[in-house]
Amino acid sequence: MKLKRSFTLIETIVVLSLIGLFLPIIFAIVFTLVSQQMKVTRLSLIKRQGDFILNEISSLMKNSALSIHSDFPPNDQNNLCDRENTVYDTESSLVFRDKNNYWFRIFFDNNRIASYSSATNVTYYLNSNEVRVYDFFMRCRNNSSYTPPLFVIWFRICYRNPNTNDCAQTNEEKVDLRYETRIRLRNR
Amino acid sequence: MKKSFSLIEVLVFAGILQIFFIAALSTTVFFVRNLKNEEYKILASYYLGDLSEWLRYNKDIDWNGFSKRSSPSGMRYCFNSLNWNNQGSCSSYGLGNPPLFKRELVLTTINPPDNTRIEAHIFVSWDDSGVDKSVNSKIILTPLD
Repeated sequence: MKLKRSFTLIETIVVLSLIGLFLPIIFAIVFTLVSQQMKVTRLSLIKRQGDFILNEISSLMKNSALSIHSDFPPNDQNNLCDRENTVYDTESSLVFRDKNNYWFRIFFDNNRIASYSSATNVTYYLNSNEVRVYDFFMRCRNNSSYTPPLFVIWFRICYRNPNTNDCAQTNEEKVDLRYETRIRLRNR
Repeated sequence: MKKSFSLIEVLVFAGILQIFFIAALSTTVFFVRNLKNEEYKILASYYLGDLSEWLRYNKDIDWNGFSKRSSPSGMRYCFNSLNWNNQGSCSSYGLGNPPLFKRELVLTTINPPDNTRIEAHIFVSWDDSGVDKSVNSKIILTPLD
C-alpha cells in the first residue's frame, strides 16, 4: 500500500510562525505608507482651501470694499470704524458696501466661511464640508480719520472628522493651519 | 531514509528571504521619506505665503518705513517670527511646531534712489536628514499695488 505523504506537525508550526512573523511587518509597512499619504493629502487639502479663502477675501476687500457695516442693508447708523480710534470685533459677520452701492457680507456659518452678494443675490461657501474652520475672527479698526479703516481676519482650518464634526485628532490625521491677513480699505 | 533540506537549500531560502525584506524595507523608507518631504514642502509654502501677506500689509501701512529696511545690495532678515527684530541669517530652525523650519527674507531695492520697487525674496528651509532643503519665492512690492 502506498503511504500518503503530508506535512509533519513541526513543518506546519514552522510555516505558520513564519507567516505570523512576516504578516505584521508587512501590515505595519502598508499602514505607515497609507497614513503618511493620508496626512499629506489632508494637509494639501486644508492648505488649498485656506489659501483660497484668504485670496478671495483679500481681493474682495482690496477691489470692492468701500465701508464696513455691522448689519445689512448698510447705512450710516450701522457704519463701523468710520471715526478716529474706533474698533469693532466680531466672530460672526461683517457687511461691506461697494462703489456701485451694492453690498456684500462675509459671515461664519456652521464651521464654514460664506460670502453673500446683494448684486447677484447668491451665497457661496468658501470652504467645503471636508474641512472645518474655527477660531474665526474679524476686526475693523480706525486709528486716524485721514486713513481708511483697517480690516483684519484670522481663522484656523483643519481636516474635519466626519463622525464627530470636530477636527481629526489622531496623530496621522492631525493637521491644522492658522491664517491671518490685514487689509487697509482703499476705495473710500 | 527521511528526506530533509540540505544546508545549501536552507541558506538559499534564507538569502532570498533576506533580499526580499531588504528590498521591501528600502522601498518603504524611500516612499516615507518622499511623503515626509512632500509634507514639509506644503508646510514651507504655507510659511512662505504667511510672510508674503505680512509684508504686503507692512508696506501698505508705511511704505517709507518699509523701504528703509531694504538696500540695493539686499538686506537679510530672519523671520522665524513675524517681526523685524532679527537682522541677518537665522541661527537655528525655530519655525513651526515642532520647530523644523527657518524662514529668511532678502529685501532689495530695485530702483534706487526712488525706492518705489522692492524685491522681497523669501526662503523657507528645513533639515532633511542632514541635507538642507528649501522653497523660495520672489515678490515685487510697490507702494500702490
